Amino acid sequence: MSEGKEKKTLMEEGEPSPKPSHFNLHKMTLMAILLALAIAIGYVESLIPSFLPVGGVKLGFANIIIVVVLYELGVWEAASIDLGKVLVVALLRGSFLQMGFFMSLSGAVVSLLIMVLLKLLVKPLTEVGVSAVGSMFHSFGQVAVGALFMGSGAVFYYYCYLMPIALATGVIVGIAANRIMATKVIARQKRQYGFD
Amino acid sequence: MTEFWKKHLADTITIAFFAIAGVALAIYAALPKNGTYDSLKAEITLDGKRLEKNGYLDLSSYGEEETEIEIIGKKSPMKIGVKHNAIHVLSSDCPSHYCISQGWVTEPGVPIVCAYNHIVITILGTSGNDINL
Repeated sequence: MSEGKEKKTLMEEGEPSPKPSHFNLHKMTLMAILLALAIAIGYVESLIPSFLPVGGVKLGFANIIIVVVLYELGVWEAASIDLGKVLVVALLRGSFLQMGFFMSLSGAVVSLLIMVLLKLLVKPLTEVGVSAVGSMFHSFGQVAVGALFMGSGAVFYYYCYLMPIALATGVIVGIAANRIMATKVIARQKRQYGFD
Repeated sequence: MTEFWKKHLADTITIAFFAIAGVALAIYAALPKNGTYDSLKAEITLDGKRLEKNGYLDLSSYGEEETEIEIIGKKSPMKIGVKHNAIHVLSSDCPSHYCISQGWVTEPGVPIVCAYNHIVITILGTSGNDINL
């Protein structure tokens, strides 16, 4: 009886579990749920036909998950969810190891790199700025791989169209991530189960 | 409003910086290369290499009536229509048809890109005529 009481106070005070281990089942489950969410959003988005005479324009709302994870859990967690999402969405769409796959891979890597750098180096930035710049770099990475595959710098012409859209969706993603973090849904889990 | 700026000033400055840099790069990439508009040439490349047949078309030598040209892409043949100083894609087996919906292209520097067939069509102006005497 007394043991149970002690456990409860530990949880209420929000102290991490006495033996913080490398492997935390709660964290792994949470990350699996977030990855599944990111994959679902990414796949549904890829079914929406493009509304511009340029291929590959997507809303990129799966990045809400990436931004939230980057802020709440950390860089490596965000990177693993991002790469897992790119891989599984490519397998679902049947574009694995084709040009579209390499375009989304490079977009994901470039945007994650710039988001991590901005978050670490420019302290006054909020999620909105970080995700907007990350979104712009996402389309830059895609266009760069497209130019590489075609062997022609003329592909950069399409960046004129992609950049303003990326900016707008990036700001929306940032606001959404901010709202999600305001609910403290992940912060509460972290405190309750003692991981970070 | 001041509350908003206090919180998002850094955001705004950073976004504006990267947006302006991006627009500058895009304008630089989209700028027509040196040349006059009265004698245009089109370059058709596959994976960065100019096609052996029909890879280099003198658009000013065509009349106002459209000429059809067939080129071989990476996965399928495509039909291209050419008339005086203008070029467009007539038919292609690609699923999206973005290249066809782009229509006639008459400006140097504006590319037609077919991602499916790895084809890039660019209009070049002729250099050498741009010296003002």
